[in-house]
Amino acid sequence: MNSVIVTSILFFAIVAMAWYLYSTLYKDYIVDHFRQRIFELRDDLFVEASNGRIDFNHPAYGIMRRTLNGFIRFAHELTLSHVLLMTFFCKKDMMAKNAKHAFQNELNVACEDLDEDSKKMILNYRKKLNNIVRSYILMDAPIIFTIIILGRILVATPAIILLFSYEKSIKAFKYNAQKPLASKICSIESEALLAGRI
Amino acid sequence: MLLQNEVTRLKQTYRARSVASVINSLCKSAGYVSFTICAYLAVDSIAGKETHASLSVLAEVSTKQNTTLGVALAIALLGIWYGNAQRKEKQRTIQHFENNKRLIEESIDSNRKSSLLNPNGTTRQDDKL
Repeated sequence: MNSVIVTSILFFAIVAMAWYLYSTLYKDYIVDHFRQRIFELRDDLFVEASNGRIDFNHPAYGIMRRTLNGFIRFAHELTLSHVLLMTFFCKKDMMAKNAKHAFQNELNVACEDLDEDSKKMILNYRKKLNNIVRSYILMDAPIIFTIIILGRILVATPAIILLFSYEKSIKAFKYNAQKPLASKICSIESEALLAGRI
Repeated sequence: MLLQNEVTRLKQTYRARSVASVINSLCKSAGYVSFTICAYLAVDSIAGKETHASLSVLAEVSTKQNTTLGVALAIALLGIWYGNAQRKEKQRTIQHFENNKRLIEESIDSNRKSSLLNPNGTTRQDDKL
């Protein structure tokens, strides 16, 4: 009888340990992993600037560097729930909605006087950054993220098929499947830029 | 107007951050509380009952299982300890090289901006909610 009790205690101890592994150790690990990748990106950008591909005092370099710093500093708070809540709050506030594209707008203005090569390089860094952020959010809550994406594909796509044309539904399907969180990344970048300025 | 936008954005960010932090903490604690309740209920339902034939067979099987589970638990704990030790070593290495890296970068770019993490790469206490 005692061994049955011990079995149930051991079973729940193992389940609790698995939960501890996910909720604490895994979360800490992915924050470290994310920061390391952003550090690597920031160092690469620094090397590019020291090689003369872009000036250290150029606004475009400053914006990228501050955004990367913002991501590094507040990586521990960048969770899927935070991203979804931010989208919810911004929908309610028009002014915040306008500021959603602050990073995009500032970077566009800053890149205007850059030569084609440097501009391409900065945009390439932004693309790399977006990929890192996207995979980080995916790693943060893999099960919830999969449910959301599947939900969007399974519910939104048939609704579009019924309401609009077939081509539009195919586009929506591809967008949902290939670029999850694409619209939200803009908002996160602007937040990181703000955080990098504080 | 731009500054006003930024202030509004910051307010929204802090609001979202606070709510997300509460949700995350609640989820984390809810996991532990539910496991404790389940463990208590499981033990409570078995404890004090008379031994039936089927339960005694179960108990024999359980003794073997308990050894396996105990060994698995011990190995998992060792794994956690090893992972933590490696993490601390990594933080020490980062701290060891951080100052030199900062000095080198500042000699090239005097306006260099930092990420404001602790020297060992961990989050500052002020940045934690």
